[in-house]
Amino acid sequence: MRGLRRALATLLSAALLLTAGSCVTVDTDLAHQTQVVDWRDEIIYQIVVDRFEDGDPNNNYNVDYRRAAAYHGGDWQGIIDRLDYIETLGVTALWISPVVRNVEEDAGFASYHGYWTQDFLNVNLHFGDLAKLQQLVKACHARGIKVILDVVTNHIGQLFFYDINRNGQPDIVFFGGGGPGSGSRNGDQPSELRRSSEWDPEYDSRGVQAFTSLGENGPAPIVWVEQPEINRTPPMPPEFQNPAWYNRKGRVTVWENEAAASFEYRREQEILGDFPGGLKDLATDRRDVQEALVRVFQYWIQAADFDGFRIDTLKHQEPAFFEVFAPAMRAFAKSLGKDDFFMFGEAFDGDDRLLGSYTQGEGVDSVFYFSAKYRIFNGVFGNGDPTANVQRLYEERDAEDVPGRPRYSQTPKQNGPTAEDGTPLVPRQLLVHFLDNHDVPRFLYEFPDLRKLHGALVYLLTIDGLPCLYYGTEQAFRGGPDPSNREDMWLSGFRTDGETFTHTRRLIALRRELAPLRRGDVTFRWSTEHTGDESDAGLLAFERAWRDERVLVMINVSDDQAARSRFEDRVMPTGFAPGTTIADRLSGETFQVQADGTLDITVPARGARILVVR
Amino acid sequence: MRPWTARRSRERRQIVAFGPRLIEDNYLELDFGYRAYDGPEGRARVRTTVAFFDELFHYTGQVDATLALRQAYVEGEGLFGSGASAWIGSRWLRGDDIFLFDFWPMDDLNLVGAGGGWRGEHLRLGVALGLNRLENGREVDRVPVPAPSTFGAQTVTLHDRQRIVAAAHGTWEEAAGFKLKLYSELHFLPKGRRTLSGSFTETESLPDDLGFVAGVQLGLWNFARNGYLNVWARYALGLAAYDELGTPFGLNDDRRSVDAQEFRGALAGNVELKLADGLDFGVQYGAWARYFLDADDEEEDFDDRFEAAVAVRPQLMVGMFTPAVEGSVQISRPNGLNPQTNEQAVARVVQLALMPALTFAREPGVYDRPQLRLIYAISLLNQAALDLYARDDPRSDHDVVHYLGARAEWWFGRGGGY
Repeated sequence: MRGLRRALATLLSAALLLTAGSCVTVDTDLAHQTQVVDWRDEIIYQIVVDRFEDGDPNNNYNVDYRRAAAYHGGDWQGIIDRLDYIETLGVTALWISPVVRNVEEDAGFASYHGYWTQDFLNVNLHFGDLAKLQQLVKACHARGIKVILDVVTNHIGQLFFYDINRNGQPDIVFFGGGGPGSGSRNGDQPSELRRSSEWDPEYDSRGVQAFTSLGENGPAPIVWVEQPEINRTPPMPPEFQNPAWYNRKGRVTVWENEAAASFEYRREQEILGDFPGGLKDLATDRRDVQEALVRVFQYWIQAADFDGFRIDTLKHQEPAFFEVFAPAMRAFAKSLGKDDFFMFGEAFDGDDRLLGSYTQGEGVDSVFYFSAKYRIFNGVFGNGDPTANVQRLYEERDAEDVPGRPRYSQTPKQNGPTAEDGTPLVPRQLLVHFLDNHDVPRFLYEFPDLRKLHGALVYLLTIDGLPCLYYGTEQAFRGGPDPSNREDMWLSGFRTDGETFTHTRRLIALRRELAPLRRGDVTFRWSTEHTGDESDAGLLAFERAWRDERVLVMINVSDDQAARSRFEDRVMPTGFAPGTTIADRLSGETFQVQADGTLDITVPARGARILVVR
Repeated sequence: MRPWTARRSRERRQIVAFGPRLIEDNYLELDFGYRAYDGPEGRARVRTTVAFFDELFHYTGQVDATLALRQAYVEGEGLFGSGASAWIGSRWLRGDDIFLFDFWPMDDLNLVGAGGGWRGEHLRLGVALGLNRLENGREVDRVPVPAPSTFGAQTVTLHDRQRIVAAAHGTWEEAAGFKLKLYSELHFLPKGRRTLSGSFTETESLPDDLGFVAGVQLGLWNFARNGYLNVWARYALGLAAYDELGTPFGLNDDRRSVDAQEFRGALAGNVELKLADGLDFGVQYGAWARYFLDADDEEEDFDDRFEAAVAVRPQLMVGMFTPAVEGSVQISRPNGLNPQTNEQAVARVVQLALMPALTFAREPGVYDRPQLRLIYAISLLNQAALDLYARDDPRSDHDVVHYLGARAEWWFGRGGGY
């Protein structure tokens, strides 16, 4: 009898093994490794997954190419299929749009971008399954390409409505007629018109209030919507279904008339209000919410071996949240064997002080350098503003808005990014430069001049920090505001012989070749207030020095005049030894540093030079 | 079968649970049965009954029909050379009816299940155990939920509770023309949960429920040509007090039906006699009364009521020509006020019908079919009966109603007893 039992057990085990062997597709035991040597070496390439390449037609659900705001079919397999292209371009890290399951659509707009979370722990099937996501990350790692995941910790999708009139269904609530001015035809004594959308009511500091024709009657209850056909269902995991986990104050409105609001009130709305589009704001000051967000995003590090997070809507959350979230992520990644887990956030604001504030403490490692986007890329490279603005903004990094504390933190984070030799890197060294992204019009839309774009690319790929290139920039895409700026990449044919592609690829190759361009300190050699016909008008020059190597970058933002590195008696100094022959890696021309270490040369209109010792 | 002219008139004449069958909806039943095996150790028969309901093509122009598989079962009889039998399948279990009301006053069940019986010289025993389930929110709840591995929604059954019914009867029968039948049913509906409207996550609990039936039937026959008389008394409690295919209403505070009650009494019969050569006469008759109390404790309740109906149909048989008249009375007395009139009144319908007919049969008999029949009926409704209609219903103004129609009726046999 015992023998029979043993035989049966053996047979059963064999059957289980066979079954398991035949269906395992998800790697449940990923070998996590540190992929990064020094984050300053990385060149980030931002991909909106839905728009990059359609590698698997089987996940094309509700795809409609005619509608800019619909799903278009791009997926993770598509990225895998185009890794040769990405490698040819030379970028070293991918930032992919969010991977989590979303509410499918809202008011005719689809969630192709991925920012409308419904389920924090499951993948968006439009892009593939978990196995495919792991395959993507592994394929990237095999080529030395890192993968950064876009995460949203500020809000969920539009999954509930405020039942303002307490009738249990989502309405546009109207009371009163407002008289002829509001379209009312009747009324000797017009009543006040009161209107509110229960999906997306306006901000109220007290919390959205319920009201009827008899007046207000307390906080409006929230109602989770259940529309499974569009996956508008209560958030998952279930703990996110607690109404108290949301601030419930309504949509941010302060931007409509920002000048009339105090800074403090603007920040209150931004932090506590729902993001426009009815995206419900999580109460990230609550400890339980913080812990839940930590858990769900730790899951993604473990599940797919990501190398970093790009954190959405940073400025809509309390900095204190990131004092909990960021250290927990770093520690968790480290526990898996991943050092240098990198987190940078999107504070969509030109306010340099605000951006810097998010780099303090143990929060994120870096931020998108929006102030540079507006003041340098748009202002200087787009509009031809004085190049002195570039140097000024650079120097503001060290401004002590709070006495004794530089604007951008120069204090290392615990378990934070390090240089190759283990030296901690600080936020000031890791700012993420970009000239456009999925939330702003493409550079060529605002400044339809390839020469301007090419000059901006020189700056992007030679200045310090991390350059972030938005997909399609290298194909000279020129889409306008969202969603026009989220073009289908496949329409470019992924050509690698275009003028902008060649230019971008060359700059990337130079950055990868020349260590000073990645890791070197920045010394401004020339910037000017001149924008007219002065000899140096439009000239910007800075040096990047790393160990005994040095690169001098000179860019002229003037449209029609060569810029000379001399104005009146002043000649541009350099860090090169006197008499050194230096070569321009872009044109091949050579120049000689004068006996006093200065350099007096010209840069053609909208031209640039990258000068190194020959 | 009946012509379309009847279709809008049925409700007019029916103010009680079981009105005269004189004017009925279309109904066609196809009974397929055969004896699959006949041997020394028993016999097996297979039976399938398909029924068509509702409108005919000529009335809708729609190439469509409402049909039901009312029975599909296999029954073994005379098992092991004894009087034992057993069956499994979907079955409509019925005893004797009141023909004029198309009403089985004691035993009329629709079950999927199994049963068995034993037939001796005088004694017949039968049991059945099965279940049924209706498409209503109390018994089944299908809702769309997010699909697990693809896009969109899929419909899942979150709640599916079946009513379990056990039934048993015993009949003592004398060949001389007498029988006594005792009958009982036990109904049980397990507890469950159902989703709230518009949600697949918010649910409410549904308590379990019970029902019970006890009935007795006395039957006499052989006292005249084709003569018989059946008398029934039946008491039902809880679930069993409601129509088996209806949703219980007027529940108690626990949302259960266990406090509902129904008392029924009924009789039905037929007498025929020969008046002269080629001239025969017969009388069919039937009557029933019921007192129903729903499960709530409301004493003045419009849902609670006493109802009764009587019908008599004398018929001449002059060869193929078989004219008949039928008189009937229905009354309904609610225990509460009619919400439309705020009055408590006894509704009454008196109907008289003349039915010249042709019957195709070799021997005269009131149950012979096929029959082609013309019908003229006049119905008199009192105000309380008219008040049962919505005020805006044109029928609420017509206290005298005339009906003229033609009807064809046939059958090949009857079955269902067990």
